[in-house]
Amino acid sequence: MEENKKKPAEEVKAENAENVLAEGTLAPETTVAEAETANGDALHGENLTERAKVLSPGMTVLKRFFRSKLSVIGLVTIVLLFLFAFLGPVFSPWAANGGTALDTNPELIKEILSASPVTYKVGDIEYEALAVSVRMPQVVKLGDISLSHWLGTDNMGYDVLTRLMYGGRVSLTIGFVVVIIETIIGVIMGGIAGYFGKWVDNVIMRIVDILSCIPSLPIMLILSVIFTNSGIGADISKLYYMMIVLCLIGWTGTARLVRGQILSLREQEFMLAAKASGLSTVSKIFKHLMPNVIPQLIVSMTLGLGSIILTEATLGFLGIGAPLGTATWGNIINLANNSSYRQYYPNLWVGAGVCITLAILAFNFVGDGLRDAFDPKMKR
Amino acid sequence: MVKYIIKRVLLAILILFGVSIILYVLIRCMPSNYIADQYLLTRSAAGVPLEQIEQELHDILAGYGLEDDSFLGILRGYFMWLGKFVKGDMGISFKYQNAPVQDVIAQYMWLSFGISFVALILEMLIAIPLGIKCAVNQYGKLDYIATVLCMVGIAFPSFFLGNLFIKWFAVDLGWFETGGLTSGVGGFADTLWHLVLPMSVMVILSIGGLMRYTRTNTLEVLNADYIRTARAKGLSERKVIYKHVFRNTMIPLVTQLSFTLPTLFGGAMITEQVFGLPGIGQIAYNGLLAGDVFLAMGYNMFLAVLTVIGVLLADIMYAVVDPRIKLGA
Repeated sequence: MEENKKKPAEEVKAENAENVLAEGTLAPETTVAEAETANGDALHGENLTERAKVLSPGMTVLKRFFRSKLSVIGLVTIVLLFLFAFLGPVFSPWAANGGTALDTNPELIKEILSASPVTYKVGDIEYEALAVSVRMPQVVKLGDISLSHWLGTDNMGYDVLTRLMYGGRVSLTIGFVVVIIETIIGVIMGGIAGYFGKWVDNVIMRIVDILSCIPSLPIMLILSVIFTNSGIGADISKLYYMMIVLCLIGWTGTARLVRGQILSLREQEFMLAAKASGLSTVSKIFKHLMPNVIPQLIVSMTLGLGSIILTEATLGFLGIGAPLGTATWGNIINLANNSSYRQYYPNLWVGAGVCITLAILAFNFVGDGLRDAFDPKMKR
Repeated sequence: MVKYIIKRVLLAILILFGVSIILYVLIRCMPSNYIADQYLLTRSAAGVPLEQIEQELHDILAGYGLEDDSFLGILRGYFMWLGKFVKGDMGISFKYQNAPVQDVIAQYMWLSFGISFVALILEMLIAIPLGIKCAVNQYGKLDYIATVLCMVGIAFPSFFLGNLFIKWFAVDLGWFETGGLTSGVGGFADTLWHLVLPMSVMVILSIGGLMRYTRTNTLEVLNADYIRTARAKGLSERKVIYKHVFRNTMIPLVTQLSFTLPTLFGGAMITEQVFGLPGIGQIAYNGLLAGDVFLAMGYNMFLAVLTVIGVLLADIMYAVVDPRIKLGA
């Protein structure tokens, strides 16, 4: 019980300290006034403004964000994964022309099995030539882990590690495409619904209801079959097309979030002030309402990045994403479907699985950290 | 209340109507059609000239409203399907012994339901007490460890964890069996033995979400005035937590449960795929890829109906468990 009593006291102290900072961000005058009374020195206001730390809202958020260990770990992991994917191939001996080079064991090419002179005639001229039979270069398939191939080679003879790097380029960036499109559609639709209300809101929200009832994985299966058959995107572009269609049904979450926020913000005094100053609708929505929604949007976008990585990986695993030749993390882990690869060549697919898990985890850490940092009610 | 529910049900019907149009058009855009493919294969093997086959096929497909792939044809086919669907007839699954789709779903649904249900119970038994404990000791050691572990669990893709489990526990260690439901021995124990790994995958993946949800809600309740009152009047900490905090934490949890309806009955497509379980998820997956139009349609509508019911149930549950909330707005 005594412990319980002590704790709140400490917390209150910490809270007060935080309040000074927080209030400083919102209304610098109050902080200064408080600082003045605290020091009992009301005359030198200018000096005290410097002494009382006034942090901008952005700085407060950053400070809180970096105070959380998990979010820093997440951020560092994301940076490392991006470096791995975009700088890694520079250092890999198996990276060639934006793709992965085959390990063709060049010594074997030199081995000449037999050579015999032959003569043949074309028209009147007689040619002499040397017929040479050589051993064809062999692709080292399913190579073991070695110094030259840190994760071995896969069933096609590609270096697994290098393929992971190239796969990361697709898997890590595709999320941004999806999240940005989803957010744009979601913000526009949610903004319109929340601001105008009435029948506009009704129509948009019914569309949202309908779209959010559509099961996404079966739809992806259907789309994959349609795209493959109609010849759209025989290469990586198929994945992008599928993801764009995914955006068309995936913006509903953002729209709901924006609408909910705007519904509550619309009733506040500053919106009345905006109305009284005769601002246009567009500037009211985008200059006065939207900035208040941005914190939640950033959080949901960060978490969305993680979930898109999972979606891509799922599509790849089921073999319905990008064509299987292209390197994406999902396509690499697709090899685990083969029970002998799963059992005897874990080096082929475990790496991709770890990368996917790490990426999702990192984005979730950062998203959570941001949420806590943006939340003014959080006391730590 | 009754008026509100009626209004919501009518709205749900409208939503399902919209969903079914989108689904039907998409499914009809699929190039492969199981019955057409099979018919072409068997008849041409029998040496029937192609023109005659096409004529016959056209007649057969016309019976299902599938013969015309133009816009109007699809529209006509849709209303044909809708007319039957309203009467409870979801059409015939060509791939699964030409049985009615509702029978196919009913046949394979229970395995998926059983797995999900046991997984859900286990999940709740672990996640809810853990979440409350973490919230009570906020920022304690347990809180940190549990939060990080839960985040890791959320981040794992089901197919990755499933394959790791198969490799480690089923093959390397030989503890469990995988791949289907039985391995010769038969019997309930054998089946259960095959289901341990898929269930644990499902529990591990979903436990994090529930635990964090419980934790957040408990924290909110702990800051409420009535908890301070309870402490102030001298109740033991145990009583405060289990009698006052716990019961109020359950309010949002009960509604949250309603949202699990689609996953409960709809099957886990990927987990079933990885472990080779003949649940509704895998059946639908194979049916979809083979172009089994009515099964695909039926399964997706099944999921949509479950989603709609789940949302409706959640809203009603809100009002049931929390008397402060009045429906009808």
